[in-house]
Amino acid sequence: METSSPAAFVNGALLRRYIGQKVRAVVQVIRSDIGSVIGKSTDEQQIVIKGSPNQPLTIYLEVIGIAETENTIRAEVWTNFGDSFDAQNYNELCKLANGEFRHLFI
Amino acid sequence: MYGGEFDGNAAFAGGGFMPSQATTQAPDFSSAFKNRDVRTLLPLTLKQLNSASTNGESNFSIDGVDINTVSIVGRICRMENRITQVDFVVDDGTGCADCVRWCHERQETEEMEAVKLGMYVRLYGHLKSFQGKRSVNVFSIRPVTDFNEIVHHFTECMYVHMYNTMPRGGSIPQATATPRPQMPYSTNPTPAKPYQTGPSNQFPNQFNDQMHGVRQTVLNYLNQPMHLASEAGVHCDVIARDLRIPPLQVKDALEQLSNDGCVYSTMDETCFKSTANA
Repeated sequence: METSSPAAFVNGALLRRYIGQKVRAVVQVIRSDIGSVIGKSTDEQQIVIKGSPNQPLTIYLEVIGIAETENTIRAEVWTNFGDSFDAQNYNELCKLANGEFRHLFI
Repeated sequence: MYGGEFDGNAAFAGGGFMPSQATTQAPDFSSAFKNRDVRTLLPLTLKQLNSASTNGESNFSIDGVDINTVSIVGRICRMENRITQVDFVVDDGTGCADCVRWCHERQETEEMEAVKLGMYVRLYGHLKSFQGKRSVNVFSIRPVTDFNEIVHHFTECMYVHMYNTMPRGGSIPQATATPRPQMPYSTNPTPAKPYQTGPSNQFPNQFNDQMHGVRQTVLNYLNQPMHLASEAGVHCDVIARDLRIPPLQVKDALEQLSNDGCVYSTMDETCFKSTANA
């Protein structure tokens, strides 16, 4: 089994801690451009996701990829999370997974 | 021990899910569990799974609890169909795990056909080790359709980790007759967890929090397997007698517990049953 590249749960604020590393984030899609998607992180910050999804996107989207800057993720994996998703819960999970319970995750 | 009369000795003697008195007093829970056929169902992150300590081929433990069945939520990142089995790798963002799903029956094959590469899945299986290589022998798998389940799974992992690592037990005076189920988190009902957390509960009848102590004692009493199994519930006078608590206090406690949704009255307003496992 490999544990080589964990992907940290991040919201907008946590993204800057992981520049150059693998992250996962759920965003609410604001608009899709060519080669990028603009989304709102679960703590309501604007995030640019680089790359092109290979399917139509639902309102909520999970991306796994590399944190390029404090508000950009280069996406490798796109997963539609549907139109109803509890972003607030996800945001709390991000905080716990990077805080008190970090050792279970990273 | 499921007879009509409450038999304190039987209830505390270690049948069913209750720890024996020796277990209650022993501080070393991990060794106490080794001799018992504990069937745990542990939700784990794959980082936890990969860091679980092992003392042999297939004996794993984490947080002092033997790992039997694990529950995992993750994304399938590799998949290989073979004749009798499907080999795949699950990645939950904290690590990866090799999994095997043996497909002998039609139902097993169909279940596996619903699962595609790149999907999020919830799976249950046994953690195995063969020649130093760990893998999960999956016996149930299904695609995740509501993605809140992912958040829920990880929240549960944190909760269970906390539950299994927080200090429990301590010196409980025998006279208070409050059995504290010290089982690891499992599919069995772990009744009224919120009441069992926190150090104040370790001394139910002391300090100025006396009413809380009575509530806890009454709830623990109703959470005993024999009372959970009883259809009719337990009469409040019987509770008062068994616990040696004044009937009025028991009634107050039952009313508060009822308001909190922890117990409910059964045939009439005098017989009560815990909502755990109801």
